[in-house]
Amino acid sequence: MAVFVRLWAVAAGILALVIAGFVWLAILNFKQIQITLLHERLAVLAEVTAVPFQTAARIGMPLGGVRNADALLERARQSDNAIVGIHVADAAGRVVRSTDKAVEGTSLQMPPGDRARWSWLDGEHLFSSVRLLGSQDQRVGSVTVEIDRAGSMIRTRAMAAELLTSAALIWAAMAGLSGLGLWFFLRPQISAFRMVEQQIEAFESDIWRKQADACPDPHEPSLGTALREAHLRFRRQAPGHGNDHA
Amino acid sequence: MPDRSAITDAPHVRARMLAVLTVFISVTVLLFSMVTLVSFDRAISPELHQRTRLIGDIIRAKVEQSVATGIPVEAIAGLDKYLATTIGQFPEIQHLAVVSRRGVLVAEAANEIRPTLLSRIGLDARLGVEAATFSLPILVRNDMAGAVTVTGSAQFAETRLRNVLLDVSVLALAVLLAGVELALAIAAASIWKPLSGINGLLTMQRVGVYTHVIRPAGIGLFRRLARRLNGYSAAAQRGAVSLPVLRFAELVDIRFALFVFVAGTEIAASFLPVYALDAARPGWLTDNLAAALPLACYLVAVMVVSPFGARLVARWGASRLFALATLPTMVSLMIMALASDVLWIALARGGVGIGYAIASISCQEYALRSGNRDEVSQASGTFLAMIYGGTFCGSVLGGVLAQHFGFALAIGMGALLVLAGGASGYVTMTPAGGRMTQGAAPAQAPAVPHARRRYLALTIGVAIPLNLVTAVFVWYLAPLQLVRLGADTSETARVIMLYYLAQIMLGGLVTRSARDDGSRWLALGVGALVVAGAFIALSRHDGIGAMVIGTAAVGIGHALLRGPLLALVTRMAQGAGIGLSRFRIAERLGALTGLLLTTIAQAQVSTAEIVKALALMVLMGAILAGIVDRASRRSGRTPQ
Repeated sequence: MAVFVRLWAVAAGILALVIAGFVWLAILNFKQIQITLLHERLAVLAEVTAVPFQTAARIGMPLGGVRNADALLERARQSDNAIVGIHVADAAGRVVRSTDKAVEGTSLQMPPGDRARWSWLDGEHLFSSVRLLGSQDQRVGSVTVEIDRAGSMIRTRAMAAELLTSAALIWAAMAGLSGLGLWFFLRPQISAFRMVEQQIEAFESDIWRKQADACPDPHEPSLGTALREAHLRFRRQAPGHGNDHA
Repeated sequence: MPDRSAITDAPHVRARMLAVLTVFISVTVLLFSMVTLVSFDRAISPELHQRTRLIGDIIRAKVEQSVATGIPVEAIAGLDKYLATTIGQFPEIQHLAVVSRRGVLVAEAANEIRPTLLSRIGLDARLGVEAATFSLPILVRNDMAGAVTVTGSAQFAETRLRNVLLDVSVLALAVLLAGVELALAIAAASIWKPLSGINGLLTMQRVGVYTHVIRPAGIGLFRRLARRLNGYSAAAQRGAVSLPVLRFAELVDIRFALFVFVAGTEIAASFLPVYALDAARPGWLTDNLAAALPLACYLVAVMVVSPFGARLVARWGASRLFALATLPTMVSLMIMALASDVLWIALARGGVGIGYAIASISCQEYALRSGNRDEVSQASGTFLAMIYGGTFCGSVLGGVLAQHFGFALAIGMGALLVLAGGASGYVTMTPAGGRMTQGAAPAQAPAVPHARRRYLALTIGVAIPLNLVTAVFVWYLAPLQLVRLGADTSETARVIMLYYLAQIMLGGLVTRSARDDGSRWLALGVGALVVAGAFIALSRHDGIGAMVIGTAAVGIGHALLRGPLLALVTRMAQGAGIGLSRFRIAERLGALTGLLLTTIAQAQVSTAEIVKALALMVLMGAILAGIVDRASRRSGRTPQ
């Protein structure tokens, strides 16, 4: 039994580890995919919103001078309830126009280099930006969409909970079945061990009942026989000892 | 003598546990992937829905612009192209169309999307994971001008999940192998070894020898019995000072410890050249040399330490040496994780190599010491299985960890594994009672004609190409090539691990089946052909699929080569009276030379040419060795 229980425990542990790894990888991947999808979608939105600003920048007009800028930005913002604000920034990252007046004048991230799109996370907000090019194809500014990720984070947690529940159920079922499988396949080893266990216990109980002095059958090579021979030998050498069950 | 073979039958228990667990893990992974697919799809659908809305808004805005100026929907110019550009931004959309008020198709665009696995087996409708079609009306002032229809695809979730599934499968394999070793270690600690101890003490006490005691260990039953027998010894010695403890060294002692230790040292096996390439380097170091430097340092370190191995083990004892190797290896791994300069990384890898060499030599000697003469082949088989199993486990784990958490954390994990292996070895390995003998004395070897010549032929023709290919292709070229083809870290690990998996699965089988020289040479020939063929195919075809098949094929070829090669070389070496340490040095020196030559050649010659050269070398080497062996056998005129 002891053999079986230990092997079964390790088997259950292995299954738990595999499932836990699966859940962990799935959640990790899901988070990554969520962020990527969000970034892509917002970049498309930003590019569409940026068209009038891009036109202005191409002909050299300042970004703040675009007509109806507030209405354009507000319409884009209303396309998704989770969007917190849409900001137009100049080449240095300073916000010149925004749906949120409080943000105007503050600075946004502007990575060096020539990337057409970039994004970053700030607590629960995701920022997705596209660049604006001037008349000489130089970067003159950006349009940034800021979105509140709380909704998507809740969805991630919900999925994680769902996965964990199914994981627990599947693990319980598989661990149980694997116990059956091990029992079936390791029968020779389990029964060999049980025989040893029985022989030792028979020997011990004989000592209790002071019946261990009988001569064992030398033709039966087993642990029980060896134990009795050793016991007999000891009793002969040190009489008065050996019948105690310490 | 009480029969303990039925219980302490480690290979049988291992095989059965492996079989049972493989079945159950596969079923678990399959079931859970269905669950994950459905759950994933449900969780991602709000975002996909938002994207659909956005597409609808964009197209609607474009159409409204034109319709507002009086152009009917059917007559808007450039709508097809506009739809095509839009659908290009949204790869999960299968089909996009604009229909007029009467339902007539005005323009459309589609993405090339293959049917999902689920739809092919018909489960998608049942699980609720099919593609959905939306129809978004276009309103211009108070008129319904038409509609935009958007058809999504369920392929999205499946494609994204495929990577997760692949990662999980290889992780499951690694966990399976490690877990089975753990199971064996636990069974040994609680049942097999205590039982051996009891049997050993009984053997002595049956004939009246009461000179030893045993350590009470394992389950309660055995512990009580051990104490009883110890009591006999103590009483018989009548108050003598504490008696020496009877200890047994068994093969199973090193299994788990070595497995985990090697998993730790080889944690970076799949990404080391990439890691080195990204690090800072002094100006005189070329790209290729920088990527190869850590590998070269490793080979040098192992080459330098190996000859002293036997002496070290004789002086310190196998188990103590194994434990001592732990700390320097851990420190080297930490340095490798934190270093940003390629020189430090190379040095650290060398340090890891020293630790690895010492640990593996101690385990090898322990394995040889623990069995009797006829178990030698089982001992070395177990030893190799642990080395390859550990390497496999480590490379897979390292790749997946590095992918998600970065190289530094993955290598740090390797240090933890080395610690675990060292601690486990410290607990399970029994220190030797006396000094060890200097390796197994070369038994009365049957006379081998021209042994020295044939030994050299095998070394130069087969062994050196084997190690060279491992170092140049598996450690160096393959990871770099895979990254160049766009594979990420865990994908690279999945391909490289095929090599080690082949060794694990076929190695034991080949060694057991090829028992005489004829079949060994056959295996050598086939192995060399497979490797050469793989390389020629790789030089012609580019792409990740080719790399997958090529790496697996090289692994199969090497699995066919390794066991028979070792058996043949051992026999020749014994016949010629040479030790194997020089053989090992030659192997590593050849690998090192090959690695350095490759980095230099890469400046002039394309990788395809180098790979072709490797194929030629493997083939020529095997043919030459075969010819020399045949000729020597013939001229020796001894029946094989």
